[in-house]
Amino acid sequence: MSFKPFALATLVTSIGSSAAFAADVYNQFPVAVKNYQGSATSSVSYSGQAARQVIHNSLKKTISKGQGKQDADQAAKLALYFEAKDADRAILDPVSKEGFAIKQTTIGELSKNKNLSSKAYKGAITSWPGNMTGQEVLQDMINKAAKVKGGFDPVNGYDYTQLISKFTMGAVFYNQAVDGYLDEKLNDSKKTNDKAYKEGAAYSAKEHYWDEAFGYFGAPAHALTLDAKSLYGIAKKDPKYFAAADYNKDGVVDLKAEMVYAHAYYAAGFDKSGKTSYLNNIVGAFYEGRSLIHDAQGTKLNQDQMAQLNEYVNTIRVNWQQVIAEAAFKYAGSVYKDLEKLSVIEEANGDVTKTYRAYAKHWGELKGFAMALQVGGEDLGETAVKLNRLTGYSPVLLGDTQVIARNVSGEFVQSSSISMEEYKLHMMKVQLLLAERFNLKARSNDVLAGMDDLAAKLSSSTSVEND
Amino acid sequence: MDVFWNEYWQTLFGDLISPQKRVSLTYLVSAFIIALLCMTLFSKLSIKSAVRHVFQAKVWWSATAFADYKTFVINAFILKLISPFLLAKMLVAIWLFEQWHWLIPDKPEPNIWPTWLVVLCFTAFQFVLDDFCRFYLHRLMHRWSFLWAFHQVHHSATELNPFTVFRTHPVESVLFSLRSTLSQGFSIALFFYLFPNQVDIYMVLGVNVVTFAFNLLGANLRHSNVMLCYPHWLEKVFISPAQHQIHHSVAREHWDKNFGVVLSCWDRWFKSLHYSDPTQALKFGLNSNTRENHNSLLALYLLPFLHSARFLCIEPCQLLVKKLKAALEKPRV
Repeated sequence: MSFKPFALATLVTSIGSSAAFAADVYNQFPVAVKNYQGSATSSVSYSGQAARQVIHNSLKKTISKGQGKQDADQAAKLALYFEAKDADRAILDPVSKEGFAIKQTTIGELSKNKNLSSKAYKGAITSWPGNMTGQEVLQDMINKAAKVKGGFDPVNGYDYTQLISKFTMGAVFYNQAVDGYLDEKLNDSKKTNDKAYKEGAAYSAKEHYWDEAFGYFGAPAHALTLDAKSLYGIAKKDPKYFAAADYNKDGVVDLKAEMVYAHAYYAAGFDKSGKTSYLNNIVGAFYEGRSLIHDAQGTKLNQDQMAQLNEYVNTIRVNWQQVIAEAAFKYAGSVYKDLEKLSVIEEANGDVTKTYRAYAKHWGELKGFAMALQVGGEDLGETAVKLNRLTGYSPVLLGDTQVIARNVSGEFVQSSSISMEEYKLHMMKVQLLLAERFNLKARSNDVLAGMDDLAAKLSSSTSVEND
Repeated sequence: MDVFWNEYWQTLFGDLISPQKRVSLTYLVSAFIIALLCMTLFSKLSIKSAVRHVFQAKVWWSATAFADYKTFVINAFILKLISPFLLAKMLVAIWLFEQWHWLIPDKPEPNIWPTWLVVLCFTAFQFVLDDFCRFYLHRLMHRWSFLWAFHQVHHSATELNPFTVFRTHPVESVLFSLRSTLSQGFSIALFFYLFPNQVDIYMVLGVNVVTFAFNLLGANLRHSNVMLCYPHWLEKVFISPAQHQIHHSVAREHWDKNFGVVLSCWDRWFKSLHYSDPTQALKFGLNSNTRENHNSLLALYLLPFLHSARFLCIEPCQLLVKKLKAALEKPRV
């Protein structure tokens, strides 16, 4: 996947708009706030979001390392990466490894006083039992994850590592960006571009809101200079891509600006297929929007400029939503395949332990993304209802039961459910629903992969004439 | 609207170029070569006589031939209009794919068969199923009076040329499109269920390899004045062009014979196979005493509806009235 055409376009735009910064690199927009007295040379600031990306990674790592009930401190360890704001919290992921050195080792080096809990979605979550807010759902999941080994609850088929991680990507990052910063905050007429965001700041409110949304997407500042494969390799900390990550050539990867996280990682993963260009579209729109704000040179944005900015927002919103839907699509396909494997193993009276674990993991990823899709500020209407019914509150378990509710003590209640065979069909329907509603193109793990291609091939021999 | 017309012209002229269509130039030329070889080698005609025979004015430049061309042009337009409303193959395939989960819950483990074998099986299965469905629907069109009312448009051609294949009523075209959708949807769903990620089809120039061979080996001679007969042992397996011409014959003994397209085994099993006879002269058309002009637009497009309505409604009603009368007139004891 080449980003060159976009890079060229942005280069031309930048030259044309008399910008004095390196084309395509997001964090090099100079200060445009009038009467700025400070020493900053860049007006870009999203270190708080970078910190939350790292907190999310570290939380995920902590859950997966949990020893269950034997580990009395697990709840406290998890709280450290959800509610706490301590600056000296260690970064558990990403950490340095041979051939891939990381600059920071504590959260405080990125930003102080940051956590996930305060930024989690406060609206109602209908895709999870208990009638809770997004923040409460995450808290409840974390509490339960602390009690089970490796974050895996085999009784209810929950892989909390995946559920928490994917839903955090939705309830914090996606929601904050598209339902907050790029929505009411950006369009707040009181937050103008002709004054500093706060006393002494090197950026205006419009600039800062835009940057914060960019930070939540999780792309490095120089993303437009890289291809999808390199971005994917950076997220995986593959030493082969260290040079691509280390943009300023200081020998270490700066987690503020040079790392790939969460949504950007998934976007690059899909773009690798060559069928999509989600990352390029999203980061490109962020870059163009930021250029537009910068080009106003510390003056209020007029109606036309705001309209143009909202067009970029729309590009970001649509493509970001597609990335999440693509991820849910992919894992619905994985769950389908796991169910096929389970059926074969059960038939042969084999040991299902390993496959059941994979099934729960993939379901957690599917459910987490399906839940994330519903917290972007857009009412998905019937699509959300269907998606929630098809996925259910848990995977269909080995005795054909499923979680149907949460009782007054907060424990999950199971009931007899559909068969695993029928649930497999639900996964196919989830894919059909997502592909149609969100116009998906990458469609990884497509249960019906190639069926439409073959149907098209056969159309060539379709004949309406008789003999 | 421009898009519609562009697509229409592309469809119309595309049929003459695309190897996916029987009347494409490639197949017309191959049929012509086969016809020349056949007539010079077996019928001992000179090349000049053979060419003259193939291009007889009555075959290509007559009222019946013009009716073929008219339907070719008009049907493409009508089908373009109604195609968005026809049943989508993917819809059928997905629905059937779902049903297979219930019908065959214990399917074989994936990737047991090598991909080449799956592709070979799918190519063959799809071809055989499609050929059977064509045969069976064709048979029904002859045997059910209300369908025959539409199919007789095709049989009203008194001279056969390759474009006669397009001389069909739109209702028949819709039925054949539906047949195609159902049979292809069925094969796709079955193979996708049994062999996920392995299904494909062997094709030549975008056409099923068997259909390509069929078209290249003189399928256009089926609707022609060139009588190419196969030996009887071969006609037991494949329908020869001459056997299809027999299907168009007005002779009483040829009625309802040779419905098949490629394979003749279906006709053999359904007792409708008729072997060709190179010495036999055939007359084509309908054995009709009416003075209808079968080449008019009225006869080609509207009268079939009236005939069909007669078969569907009027005749059963008349029969009912007759039976009621007979019952009423029956002396009471």
